[in-house]
Amino acid sequence: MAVLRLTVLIAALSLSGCQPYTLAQTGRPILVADNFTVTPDINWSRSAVGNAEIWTVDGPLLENLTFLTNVGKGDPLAPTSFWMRLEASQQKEGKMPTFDPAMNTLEVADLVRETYIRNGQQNFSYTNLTPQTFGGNTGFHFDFTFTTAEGLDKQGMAVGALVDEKLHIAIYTGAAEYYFEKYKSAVDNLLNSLQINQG
Amino acid sequence: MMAPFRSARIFALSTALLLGACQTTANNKIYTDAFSRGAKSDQPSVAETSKDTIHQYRIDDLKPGERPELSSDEAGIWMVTDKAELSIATSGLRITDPKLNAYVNDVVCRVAGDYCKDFRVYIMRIPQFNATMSPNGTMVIYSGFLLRAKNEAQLAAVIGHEISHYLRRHSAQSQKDIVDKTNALMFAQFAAAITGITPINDFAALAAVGSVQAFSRDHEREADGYGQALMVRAGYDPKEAAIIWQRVIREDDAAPDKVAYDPFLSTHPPSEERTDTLNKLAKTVNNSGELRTGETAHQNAIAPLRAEFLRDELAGRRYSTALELLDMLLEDNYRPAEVHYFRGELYRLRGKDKDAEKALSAYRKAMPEDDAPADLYRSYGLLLHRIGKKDEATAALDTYLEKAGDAPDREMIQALIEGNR
Repeated sequence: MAVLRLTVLIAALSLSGCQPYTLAQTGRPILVADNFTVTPDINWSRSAVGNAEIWTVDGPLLENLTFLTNVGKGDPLAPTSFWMRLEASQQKEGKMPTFDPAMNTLEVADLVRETYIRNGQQNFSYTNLTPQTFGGNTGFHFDFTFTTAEGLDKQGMAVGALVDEKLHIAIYTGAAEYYFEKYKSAVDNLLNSLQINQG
Repeated sequence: MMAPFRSARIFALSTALLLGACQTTANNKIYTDAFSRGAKSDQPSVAETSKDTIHQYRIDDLKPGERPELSSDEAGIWMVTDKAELSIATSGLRITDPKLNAYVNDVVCRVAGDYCKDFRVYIMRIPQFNATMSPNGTMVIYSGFLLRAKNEAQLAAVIGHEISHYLRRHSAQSQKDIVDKTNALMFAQFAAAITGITPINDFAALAAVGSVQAFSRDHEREADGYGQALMVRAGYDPKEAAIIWQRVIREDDAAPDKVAYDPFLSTHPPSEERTDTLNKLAKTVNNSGELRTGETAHQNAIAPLRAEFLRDELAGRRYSTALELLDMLLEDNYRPAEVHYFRGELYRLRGKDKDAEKALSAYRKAMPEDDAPADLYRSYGLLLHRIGKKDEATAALDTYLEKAGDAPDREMIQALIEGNR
């Protein structure tokens, strides 16, 4: 009976797509998505999804820092599950926008915008698209705002770089009221400590 | 990182749509008024052709300002839709632009007449052809519908169709129908259990479902006719009712697959029969009066938001249908520079063989126009940069910076230009 209950629980968790979080402890270098090394100055909860990691303190819907590493040709700019990839493979059109190594940083900013719009976010607009060092590479930075389908105003910031035909990017978003600013400096410090390892 | 596109709000909208599914009756004053103007006696009305199947479910029209009795089943449906309306009212998808809302509300009021105050109109930013009416008078208009309608009369045609669902209390009638058919199915299942003859189970289920579908199509047919009567009463040219459907059929035919394409089309199947009926009905109206299409009014109303609506369409990445839509908008010949620009964007985003050349060609068509958007030069420059034409790319990007004013990407564009030199 206990085995049955455990099986049901595991099945329910896997069906609900629950991702376990672990602690990213302050003050020590941490390997992120097998590709970045960062040293946080506050404690974060981290969860891995494929080639991505999502970090949060208060909960991902309030604020989250998403790392996407080694995004290659044809990869969407979002963590994808097996089911999403299966669904996409059956569609002739209407797929998620994807990365192309021929893109420059301006086109990557457009790709972020297309991805957010494609996911039903409203009124997406970015500002301050500027060159910025990311993990020791010449990269980019931009700020953005959008409104969720539920009507919550959000603020965001993306930093990243194109290295050897791969995109590495970190996107921080939070509720425009309170939460985005709450961890903004912690995110800045964390991203300043970021190193890109060999992919 | 990303929230799923199909949110609970969309689910609420779908539920509202389902609850608002259709029905009809004959012998109605609005209907008679509109079609008595030059109506031909040899032309059977939609209501007449469908009265045999709906007669048993006949319910009187709602009166202006009327709410169903609290103890009725219908009041239960209203309660559910009242709750759904709260979600719609606070949704992030809602377009609150005052001018656009004033325009759409005005058309709704013209079509609704005395019932104007019974409707609350919500414009939602969703790139699909759709409009819904809940039993409690919650009307939802999708931005994709506003984009696809060529004129005010086409908007009025669909609004009239939706209002007729409300006036004819289709939800209440459908509920009675569903209950009756469910009872019949339960009886058949009971009989099957006793007799042990299982095939009757499937047969009964198929019969019930088939009957519901036939009934629903009948309702749709009547809602089309009734809606057309409403638009004529409001002074709109009824010929436009068939044309909006022809536009939808044309776009739907361009789809390479029908996977999750458009929920509206699954409940409102566009068909030759539908457009034929609407065309026949339009001919029964005396056209000697002032019947208008309101093309300029409609195009001006959506102009400030059209670029955003088109951007939403491209983000859906259903390029075949989007291309057909852009073709139609080009034929409409309103602000063609904007349409050429988005045609270029489509090819640039699709990135198939020869799409770069097609995109450049589309951008060039827009350039001579006075209202060519500044972003056109950005896209043109980025594409030229990608294919190695760096001098031309620099010139285009310079033009972009000159025209765009405080461009959000000025510094990055300048860095790109420096790299080209």
